[in-house]
This record gives sequence, structure tokens and C-alpha cells, in this order.
Amino acid sequence: MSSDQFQTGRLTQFRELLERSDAALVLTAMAAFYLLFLGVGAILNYDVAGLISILGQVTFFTAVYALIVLALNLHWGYAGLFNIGIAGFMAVGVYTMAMLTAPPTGSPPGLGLPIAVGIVGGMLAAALVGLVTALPALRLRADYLAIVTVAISEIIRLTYNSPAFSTFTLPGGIALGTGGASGIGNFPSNPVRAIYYVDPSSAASGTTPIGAAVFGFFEAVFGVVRSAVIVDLTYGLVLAVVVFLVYTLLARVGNSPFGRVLKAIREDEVVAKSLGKDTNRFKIKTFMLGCALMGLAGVLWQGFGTGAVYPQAFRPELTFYIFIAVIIGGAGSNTGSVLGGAVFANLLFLLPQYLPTMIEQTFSIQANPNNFIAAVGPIAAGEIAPLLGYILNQRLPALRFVFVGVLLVYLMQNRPEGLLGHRTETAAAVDLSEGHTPGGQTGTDLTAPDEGGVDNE
Amino acid sequence: MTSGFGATGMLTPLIIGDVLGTLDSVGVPIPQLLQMADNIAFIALAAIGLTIIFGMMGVINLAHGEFIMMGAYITTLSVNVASIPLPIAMLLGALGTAIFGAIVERTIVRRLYGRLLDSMIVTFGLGLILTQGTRIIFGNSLQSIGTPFGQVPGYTYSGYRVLLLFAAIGVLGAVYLVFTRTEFGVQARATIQDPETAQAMGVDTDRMYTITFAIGSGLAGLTGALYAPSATIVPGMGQSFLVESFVTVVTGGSSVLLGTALAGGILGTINAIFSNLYGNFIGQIALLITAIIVIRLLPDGLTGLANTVRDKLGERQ
Repeated sequence: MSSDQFQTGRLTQFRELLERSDAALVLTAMAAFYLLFLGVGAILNYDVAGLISILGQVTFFTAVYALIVLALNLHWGYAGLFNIGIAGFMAVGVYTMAMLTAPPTGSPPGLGLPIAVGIVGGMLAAALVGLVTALPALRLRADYLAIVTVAISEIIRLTYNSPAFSTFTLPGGIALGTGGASGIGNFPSNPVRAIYYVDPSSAASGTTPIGAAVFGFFEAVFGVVRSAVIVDLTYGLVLAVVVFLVYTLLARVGNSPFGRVLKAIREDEVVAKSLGKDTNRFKIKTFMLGCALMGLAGVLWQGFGTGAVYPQAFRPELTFYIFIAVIIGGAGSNTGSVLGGAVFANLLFLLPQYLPTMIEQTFSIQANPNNFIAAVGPIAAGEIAPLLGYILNQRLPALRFVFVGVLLVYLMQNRPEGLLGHRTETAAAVDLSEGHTPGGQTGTDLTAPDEGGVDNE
Repeated sequence: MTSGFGATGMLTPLIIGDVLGTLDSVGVPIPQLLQMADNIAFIALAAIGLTIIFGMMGVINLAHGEFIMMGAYITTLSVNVASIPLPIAMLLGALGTAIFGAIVERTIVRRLYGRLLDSMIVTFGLGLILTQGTRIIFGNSLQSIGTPFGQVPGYTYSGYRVLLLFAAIGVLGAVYLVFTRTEFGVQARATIQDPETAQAMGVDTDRMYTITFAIGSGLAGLTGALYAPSATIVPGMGQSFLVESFVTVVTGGSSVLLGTALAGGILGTINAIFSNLYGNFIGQIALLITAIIVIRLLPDGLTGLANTVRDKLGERQ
């Protein structure tokens, strides 16, 4: 056997492994992303601490996106519930956590409860808000449910933004607060720090035995003295474990009798009803579970990940990023959700942040015009550097969004089923419209009730 | 309260001032009334293009706000750069957005009818491209063209904003006439209700979809054009219209005239009352909560309620 044949054989084996095993698929994708970002770090001449920091970021954003996308997939992929108020449910989770755990003496004051209570409280609060949303909304058409969820999400954001609740007093004289537009920044710091530091809120407080051992190891082997990057990487890995647990939970839900009823509802709600299943109850439970997970994702991402929470972080855009990730992965597939979250987080969110520095370092662009006319003008003379300089220096964030937009339009036109959407899983993609033909010019299912309301079938 | 009469020399604000003076003398709270007119106009105009694109055609067009922004930009640029008179600039804004809408329908939206999530995601992407593309080309804001007509005589309230209520009524009426009284309107509604039969009857359904979508976009552009003189012209300005417009369309139900007028009237009034009593924040919350309650009780929106009432009255006769 020549080495060429041997390699092709190995390649085929590997491809089969990927098709068979979801774990291998996810791990391969993550290895590819780590390599990519190590390459980015190498181009930017980062030291070892910088490289570890970049890996920590990749792990963190992949994990938080995977988590929230899994939660959305439970709503959309399993039960066909069209929730575009995700940002609101995340906000409820993280705000409740922050208000429960912030010290009573701080500004804004909190209740000073332990972190664990805060996390569970955040999830419960998000689930409760989910219940409040689901009760009036579930019997509506899918697009109307969507509008109700987005309205609720706006109510939530406006409420947290309002100075009226900046600090208020509960009956009984306990003061609480949302901090208004500036948010809450004084809730306890990331619990992972407790592994390494004696006092989790201060890195100068001295290290625990574990902290001393780990930091010592990194310093001896890699020469890394910045302990913060190690803490961040650890948090990323903890989140990866959380994602695994949630994935397992959802897989079990999908395979349980509960999951089978969900599938039945999705396929044909009338049949499920006539077999004696209270379909609304199932939908409400699913909605609440998904909302609780969204609350958890809010806590882990916007709470402990960012270290401060403010209303501007929960604008409707956030919701759509998560929908984009679901679409990339393929609605209905849990593994697809994790992959979609990873692709969105790394390629569309994280990578563009490093691109300008990389391009500048490689091409050394001097020109820096400050308006579009001055940037485009020289193209007539064959000079493209001013345009590049303008975009890189002035408009890169805007260009990134344009790119995301173009990608979205392209994906939906050409590959609406996503990376893994073609697979038959516990929860396959749902088609909410009745009797339409995809890409159809003929098959819209819209009836205008006031104009006769004739069924088009 | 009727001092400063005729300060602007404009005929219409003069009449408004006259009417308001009379109302004031019988004890109607004028500032609240003006606020209410402003709110109703805003909500009805924000929703008007979407009533057609979402209400009739069923496309969740998240780029609706950006269509409004586009109308405002075309208008403002026409006045600022080309010194075109404001009314013509406004027409250009509506027309330009309508043409853009027709292109978008032909190239993008066409493939997505009946695919709720997909159309939502694509139009969100389109909105991103429009907002950020505008930012790249025109920068972070445009110079405003200034509000015409000055203030309502005797009150510190922009006369132009109040006139927008009449613009809203006019536009709603025109749309109603186009869709109920013209050959095109009948064909368009037939196409949307039952494309196959419409096709069999000789209607060019492709063309109907394109034109209907273009009208919806053009109306959004017109809204932008109408608000261009009194709004801050920034790439993200469309966002402030988006949530209200969807909520209004859903609350109103499927009838263009009746639904939008009723929903705009009710939501605008509630918003104005609560804003006056407890501030803008509570006003907005009250609007959203009212909408949720209405949708829950009346899945067909206010149109459905109106139709039921009409049927009952019909039976009685």
C-alpha cells in the first residue's frame, strides 16, 4: 500500500467517523477553530499568555452561543414555538441573579444571597416570565406568537432601562434595584475565581493551594505569569461542561415520553389532542424549560462572563444573532445547534474583531481618508488603498454587519436547511406553514380573513 | 390661550389654531389632544406599509424600519444636496423606496413566500446591510432639513407633527381606494388569497406580488419622507418604528384601512394618555400590554371584531 492510498483510506475512515459520531464532529470543528485562532495569534505575534487568552475567548463564546442556541432549538426545533424574545428572557435571568446576589449595601442594593440561589432564582424567574408569555400567546398563529414574544422582550428591556426601578423598596423595607440605564455591576464575581483565589473578588488576596499549583505549573512550563488568562480559560472549560450537560438533558427530553408527545404535536396537533394529550400543557412546559435555559445562558454569558449587566446588551439584535446561529446549524438538530453556535461565535463574531489588525500588519496601509467620497474617488485612478484604509479605520464594525447580512441572505436562498438540517433527528426541522411549496410562487398559505376567508386548499 | 395667532402666516395652521381655540374655550385639554394626534399619526404611519407587506402578504419584513430610513434619507439628501423642493423630495423618497422594494421582491423575497422564519431572517439580514451600508456611505448622521410650518399657533407644539395626522388619514384612504376600487386592487387581493385561481383567470400573479410589495415599500418610504423634516436622520432611525409597527399590524388584523385605523387610534390614544399621566416609559408599556391583550382576546385583530359587529348589525336588519 503506497502512502497516498494509505492517506486516502485514513481520510475516508475519518469522514465516516464524522458522519457516525456527533462528538467527533464537534471536537473536530473545535480543533479547527482553535488552530485557526492560534494562527491568528501567531500572525499578531502574541506571547503564550496572549495565545491562552485567545483560546479562552474561543471557548467562552463557543460555549455561551451553543448554550443559548440549544435553548432556542428546544422552542423552535422541538416544539415549533416561534420565540423572537430571547434577549428578554436572558435579561430576566441575569438581572434576577444580579439583584438576588448583589450586596445590600451597594448601589444599586441587592439581597446579598449566595450565588447558587442567584443562578437558580434567575432560571426560575425566566421560566415564570415564559409562563406569563405562553399563557396568552400559545393559541395564536406562529407569526402572532412571535410578535407577542418580541413585545414582551421590549417590555422587559424598557423596564430594566427605566429610572423608575433604578432603586425601589419592597414591602417590608428591603431595598432592591435594577440600576436603570447604567445597570448592575456589583454582583459577586465569577465563581470560578473561588477555585484559585482566597477572596474571589480580588486577585491580590493570595491563591488557594489549587491556584498556587496551577499558576506555578503554567509559570514553570510556559512562562505565563498573567493568572487572569488561566481563570478565563477555566471558566470557558466549565461552560463547555455545562453545554455538555444541557445537551444531554435535551437529548433525554427528546427521547422521553414527553419528547415523543412534543414530536406528535409538531407533526399533527389534532391527532395528539384526540389521543388525550393536553397539547397546550406540553407546549407551556417546553416553553418554560427553554426560557429557564435562556435565563441560565444570560447568567453565564452576560452575568459572570461580562462582569456587569446593562439594558443595552439586550436589544433585539441579540435575538437575531441566535436565530442566525440556529439557521447555520440547521433547526431541529441539537448537534447542529452546538455547531451553529460555534461557527457563528468564531467566524462571524470573534474573527472579525482580529481582522483589521491582521490586515494592517500584513499590508501596512497608510491612507486614511475620513469620508466615503475621498475613499472612493481614487479608485478611478486605480488606487484601492484609500478605500481599504477608510473601511478598516472608520467603518469596520459596520462592514462586519453588512457581511453578516449578505451571508444571511445567501444562506437562506441557497442552503436554508443549515449544516446539519438534512439529518433525521429526534427533532427535525419544522415547517410551520401548511401546504406551501418551498420556493413557491404559487403556494402561499395566506388567507385574508376579512376578505372572504376561503381556505386555499 | 389664543395669542400668537397667525404667527406663521400659513393657512392650515391658522385654521387648526382657530379650531383649537374654540375647543379650548369649551374646556378640551389641548396639549393632550395634540400629543394624542401626534401619537396616532406616528403609529398609523409606522404601520401603514407593513399592513400590506406583513398584514396582506404575510412576509415578516424586519427591514421595514430600514425602508422608512431609506425614504427619509432620499428626501433629506434631495433637499440638502440637490435643493429640490420638499414636497417633490418626499415623493422621490416614496418612489425610490418603492423601486427598491420591487427589486428586493424580484431578487430576494420572491423565493420566501410562506416561509415565515426564513423571510424573517433574510429581511433582518437586509436590514443590517441597509443600516450599515448607509453608515459606511453617508456617515453617522445627516444634516436635518428643519421642520416647516412652525408651531401650532398659541401652543408650543410643532404644527407639522399635527398635520401628519391628516397625512395619515389621507394615505390610509388612498390605500383603501386602490385596493378596493381599482382593477389592480382586486387582482392583487385575488392573487394573495388564491394564486392558482387568480392565475387561471388570467392574472399575472408574479407581477401582482411585485407591485403589491413595491406599494408596501413605497408607503414605508413615504412614512420616512414625512418624518424626515422632524426626525433625527441617522442610519438606525428605522429601529424606533419597528416594534410599534408590527404590534399595530397584528393588533389591527388583516384589513388595511379598518385595522390600521382602529389599531392606530386605540394604541395611539392609550400611549398618549399613559404618557401624559405617568411618563413615556409607562406609555410604551401600556401600548405593548394593550396590544398583547387585544391579540389574545381577538386572534383576528380589531378587524375581526369589527366584522363580527357588522355581521350582527346586518342580521338585525
